Amino acid sequence: MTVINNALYKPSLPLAQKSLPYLKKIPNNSPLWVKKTRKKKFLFFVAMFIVVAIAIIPSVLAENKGLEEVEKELGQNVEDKLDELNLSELEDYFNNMQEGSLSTWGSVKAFVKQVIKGDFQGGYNDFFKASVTALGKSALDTLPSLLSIVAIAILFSILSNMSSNFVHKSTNEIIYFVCFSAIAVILLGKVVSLIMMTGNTIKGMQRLMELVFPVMLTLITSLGGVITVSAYQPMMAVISTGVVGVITSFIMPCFIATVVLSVVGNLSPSVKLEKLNKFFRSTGEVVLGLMFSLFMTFVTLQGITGAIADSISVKSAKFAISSYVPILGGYLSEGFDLILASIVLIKNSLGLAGVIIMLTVILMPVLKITVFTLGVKLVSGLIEPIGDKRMSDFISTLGSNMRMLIVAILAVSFMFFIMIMLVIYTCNMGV
Amino acid sequence: MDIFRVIGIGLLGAIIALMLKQSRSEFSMLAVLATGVIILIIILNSLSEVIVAFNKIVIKSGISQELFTGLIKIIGVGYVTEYGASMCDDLGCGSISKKIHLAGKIGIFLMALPIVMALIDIIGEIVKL
Repeated sequence: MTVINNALYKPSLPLAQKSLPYLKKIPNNSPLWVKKTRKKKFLFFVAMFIVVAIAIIPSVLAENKGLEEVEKELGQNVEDKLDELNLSELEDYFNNMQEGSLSTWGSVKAFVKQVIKGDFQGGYNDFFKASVTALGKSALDTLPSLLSIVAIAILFSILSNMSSNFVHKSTNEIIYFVCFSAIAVILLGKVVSLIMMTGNTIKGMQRLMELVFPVMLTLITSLGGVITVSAYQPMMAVISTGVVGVITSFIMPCFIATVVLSVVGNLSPSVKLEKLNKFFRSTGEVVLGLMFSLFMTFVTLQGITGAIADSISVKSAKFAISSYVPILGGYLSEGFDLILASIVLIKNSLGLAGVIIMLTVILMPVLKITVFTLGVKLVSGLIEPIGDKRMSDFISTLGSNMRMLIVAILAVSFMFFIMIMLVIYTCNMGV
Repeated sequence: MDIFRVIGIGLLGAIIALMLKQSRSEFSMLAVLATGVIILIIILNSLSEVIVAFNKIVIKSGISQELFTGLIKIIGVGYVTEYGASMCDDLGCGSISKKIHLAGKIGIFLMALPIVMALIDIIGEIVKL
């Protein structure tokens, strides 16, 4: 079908240019043309007569087509196009992703079909259930370690009060050291797993986008959105290598630095590293924010302008078909619309599927980190009155630094989200 | 623990030491030492009860037993060191008391070493990420 589409699309432009002298609207027709016009005119009309004669039977039939017929044809178009798409890698990715309760879909293709038919309703419920289970799971995961931190802090306060009558403060200090180390070991164990999870999530999102975008770009190309594709393709390269690279090689090390600095800075009362800690945190946030806003601006501008240029060229092609192919042109242009509409439908529902899969990918990590952050803040509040000040400082700093991980995941997912949404909202030719 | 018994023994020891100081000053120090040892023996029983109570807390909270044992040992070493050093001070040997303190500190540090090593290991692991 794509071949027919292109065949319709490409010759229509020279036809439009050649037919312009008939309209006498654009003055740049050459005098050579006028001389040759009569002969050509005659030949042209003969050819047209034959074409019309051939076309009259199907067109009469087409006139009798009802709305249902058209819908059926659209559905058939969609099915054909969907079967032609190669989604096997995306399906593999989807099947490997077991977290979340998206098992009701079956496969990506089935989901796309569901959306196209308008049967897609279970999304909210599924999501709600998935998030509640994820929330419970992550709370259960973090609870034991948080409780043992509180217990260690209580133990420390009892022991340090018991031994506060030591002449030398060093014994008290070493008890603090031991308790702090124990707390730090418990917390850092959790943090390491969260860092790894964040890295894996970002890589997973990158992989997902590498699977979804080529398919969507192919669909846009078949819609005639050549300029849009040429605008999106470099963006895709930038986002999947540049942005993800910056996050994994700059933002994550910044976060790790803040974690290490907060451990070392609170280990002894003489070493103060709070400001350095803040520096790393704000550097990470500033870089992320700058990159984010720059990217957003460029993506939106390029995407929209490219899409407008494409929609003009597609519209002119359509106009050319409908006005310069006599009699048959109207039908052809409507058929053109129908084909475009079916591709647009597939593109948009595939985009929706991509967004929902991405949300499921980030749901668990974001909830886990959020629960951990909140729990850590609660613990730091609980041990502030009983434990040492440095202890609660360490825990609360760690809690506020965890924000960087969430921001990293959310930034990448939001960029991808914007990209998909742009692809969905632009290049909706013939709709 | 009977606090009155401890106070009584302490006062008695102090009075005896005071009396001995005037007649035979070389025995007065021994009286002080003996009083300290008797008080330590009286406390010991109650101290074990305290440790059992801590143990119950630890089992309920689910902290690893090793950590708790390490902490108790550190505190015990701290107390014993303090005790011995103050006795040496009583006997007028300040330099020996300082050496006992040093030994105590090294002992405590050795005991805290596994936890510190674990901390350093995990920081190294994080930095490698």
